[in-house]
Amino acid sequence: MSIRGAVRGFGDPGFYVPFTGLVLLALAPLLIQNPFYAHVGIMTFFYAARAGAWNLLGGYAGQLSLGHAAFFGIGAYTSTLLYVTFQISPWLGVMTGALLAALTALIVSYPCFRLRGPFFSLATIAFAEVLRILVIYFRDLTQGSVGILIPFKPGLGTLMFRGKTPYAYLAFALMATVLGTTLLIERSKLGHALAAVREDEEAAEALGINATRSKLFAALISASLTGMGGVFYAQYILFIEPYSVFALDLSIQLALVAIIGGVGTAAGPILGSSLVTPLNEFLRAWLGGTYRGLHFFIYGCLLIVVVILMPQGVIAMVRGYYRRLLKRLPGMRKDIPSAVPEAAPKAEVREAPTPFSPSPLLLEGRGVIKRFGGLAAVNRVDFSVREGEILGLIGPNGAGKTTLFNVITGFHHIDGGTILFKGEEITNLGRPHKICLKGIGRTFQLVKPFGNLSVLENVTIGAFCRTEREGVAKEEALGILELVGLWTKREMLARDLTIADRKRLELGRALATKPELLLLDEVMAGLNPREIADMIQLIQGIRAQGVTLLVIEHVMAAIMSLCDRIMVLHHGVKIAEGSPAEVAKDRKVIEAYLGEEYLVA
Amino acid sequence: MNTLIIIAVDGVIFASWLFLISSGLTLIYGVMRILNIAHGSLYTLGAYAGASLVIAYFGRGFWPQGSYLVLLGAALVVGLISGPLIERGLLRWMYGRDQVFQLLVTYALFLILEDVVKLVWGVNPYYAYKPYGLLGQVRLGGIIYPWYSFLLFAVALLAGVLLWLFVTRTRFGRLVVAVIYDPEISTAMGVNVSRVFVVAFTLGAMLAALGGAFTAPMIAVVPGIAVEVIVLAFAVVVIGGLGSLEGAALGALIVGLVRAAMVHVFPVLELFTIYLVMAVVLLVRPHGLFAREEVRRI
Repeated sequence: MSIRGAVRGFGDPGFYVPFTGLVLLALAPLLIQNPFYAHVGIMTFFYAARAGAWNLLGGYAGQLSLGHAAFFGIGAYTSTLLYVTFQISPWLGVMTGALLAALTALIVSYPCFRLRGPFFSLATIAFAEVLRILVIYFRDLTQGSVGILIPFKPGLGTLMFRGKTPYAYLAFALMATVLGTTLLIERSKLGHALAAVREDEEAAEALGINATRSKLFAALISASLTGMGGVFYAQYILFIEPYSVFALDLSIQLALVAIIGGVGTAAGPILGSSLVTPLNEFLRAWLGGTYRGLHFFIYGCLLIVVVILMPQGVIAMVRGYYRRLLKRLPGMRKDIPSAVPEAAPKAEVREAPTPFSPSPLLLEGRGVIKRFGGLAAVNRVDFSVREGEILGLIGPNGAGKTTLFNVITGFHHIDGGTILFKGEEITNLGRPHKICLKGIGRTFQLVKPFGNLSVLENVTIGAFCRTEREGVAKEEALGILELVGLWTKREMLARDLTIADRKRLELGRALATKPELLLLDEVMAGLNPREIADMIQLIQGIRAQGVTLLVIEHVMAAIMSLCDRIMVLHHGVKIAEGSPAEVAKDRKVIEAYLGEEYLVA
Repeated sequence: MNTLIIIAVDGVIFASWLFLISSGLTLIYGVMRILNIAHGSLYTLGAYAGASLVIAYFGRGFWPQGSYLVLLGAALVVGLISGPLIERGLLRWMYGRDQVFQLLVTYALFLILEDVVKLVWGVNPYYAYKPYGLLGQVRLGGIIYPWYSFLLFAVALLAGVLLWLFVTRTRFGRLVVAVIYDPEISTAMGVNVSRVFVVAFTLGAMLAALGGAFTAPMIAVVPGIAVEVIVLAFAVVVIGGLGSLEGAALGALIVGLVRAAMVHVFPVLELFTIYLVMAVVLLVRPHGLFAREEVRRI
């Protein structure tokens, strides 16, 4: 039984308010007779659709593309050339165009995703420019910079119409398609993966998310929808030329509409378009024709005002009013009950093995080497973790502890040695998400919460590692939130948590991936004694559920009471290993921590 | 052999022009982490100011060689006025905001400046070709070059050297470098970061305007010249590495030579090859030739 509310029904204002809104929008083209207003309406739908398509890559995947005109142009040119040269119906052109756009995205995205921030944006600009140059160059095929005029032959088969109303419905359908796709993705595993990647790619990988593949999917869908937009444009304007369909200006406009409305939200592009497109069209109509243009001037000023006044887009401003409206409407479900849920799902409690009982090896490393330049951060280290134990990993700062973690979890390639997990070699698997899927979870020394997502969403993303279904993932997540003591804070944004809660969150998130081995990197650093005591209890609880733990810690009292065995690293070399009592008495360990003089004294 | 010399000379001259535009862009990015789409508009402002002032100057019948100083003066004035105005009036509200918003705001600024140019100078082209022919021509490898091209080279070289001296030899330049590395720590160490931002942006604007002013005698100055310039400048700074002055110089040289070579070999695709170079560089070095890898801790 989901706590979040049953399946949304028609009686739920969260469903019927937007639905009514869409129906009203769908009726609007029938009411508007004035051709200019009709054009403004069509452009509003059209920009909403294209900005929505951009939003899948630019917003949800966080890849700020400024080259979407490329996909748009591919769509427009594909269908037009098919129609003009071979009289193939634009209906087939839509599919071919979308397919070609997606194919192009597949080829281009892969190298582009290696680029960060502005480099990615600039590479996408260059890509659209290149396409334009090519279209101009191959003029035998494309008629070069002259452009292609599409002979007007009205009919449903040729996708050309005399009036504006059919175009309005086409644009509306395109917008609805984009919106539907966006909503589906938002709720899917892909949507959650994208949110995670956008927030922190490394943390996402550690949760078993294939960051590249997720972004690639987003790019494919985004590109094909944009390509469809290009076909619509060609059929509506009936003239295409390289300077208008591959324009940098167009790419920026698409991003702009989505950003103004609210990046990474389903309704954002529609809101943004309803604000920006009419504004742009009316300004152009009133001022664009005058000798000295004022149209861009006013438009630019208004953009700046909007950006300054609404830092998160229009949607952030409207959202509050909208939610309050929903609450007053009939049929709204009351808030989620604040009591603890019915017994959270718990793994069967296993007997903790007595220390040094010969339980099978879970993780084993042989002669592991990791060098940074000339420095061997991890130097021929052998290690082994037995099923069910808690192994402590200690050593002075710079000893190579975190590096060892990064090596095990696939964040670093190793320069020598082998690592086995459950007897299977996992050395240099290539990408961290593969390690996570094998059953090794981890936390980060500098916590990496997905700050702009809620606590529940953070853990849900982890739980998606082992399921495809949102309901199941959420259920799991709520159970884990109860275990780590964050259930009451589940709706808070992760960035608003205290450091202690962030560490719990990170632990819970890793736990949600159902690891057999959990690597904890200084989860107690920066906590007060009370919080440390809680954390120790929590870790023991996790072990009791049958999870094996490898723990880096500086808090000695904690490590001594928690660990079955301890391994000590110093300058990348293992200098001691044994029970807490043995390690505490070890000469080399004392030397490493306190210096030689101490030993003499 | 002759062709090689021609390509080299052409390439270096084009590179000088590219360097003037992209050095400002990369400086602004390095210091403020803002990718300024409106940089091309500053170039346009410089071109218009230079053209109209030179035309007025010759209209009065003053000493013709003085027109070069007029071009220089026009660029300085444009930079000194627009730089602080834009940085203090607009960009400073954008620091620390998401990259998308910064981009959007500089795009809005680009739109605004496009119309400002039309409002002030109208839409008819300005021709200020006189300084171009004034110096006469020189024959080099069978090709006639106007001396003006070499003046452009000298201006770019001088600008580059002065910029380098400023950054490496002056106190304030060192502060700029500190801010490039870490604005937050710089603030903590008593550097007046907002002042560094104003100066850096003004310098960048001045360089763009300088490029525009000295281009004006070679072209018909019309609205809309900003777009091509900004796209080229983007390619240059990406190849060199965003935020690196050496990178901008090397990037400009590479792009200049490649373009010059293509003009001789395969003129239709000259722009195409520039992006090809960019793609190859990014495949090998995703942060450009000169950029430091961002140090990230896991």
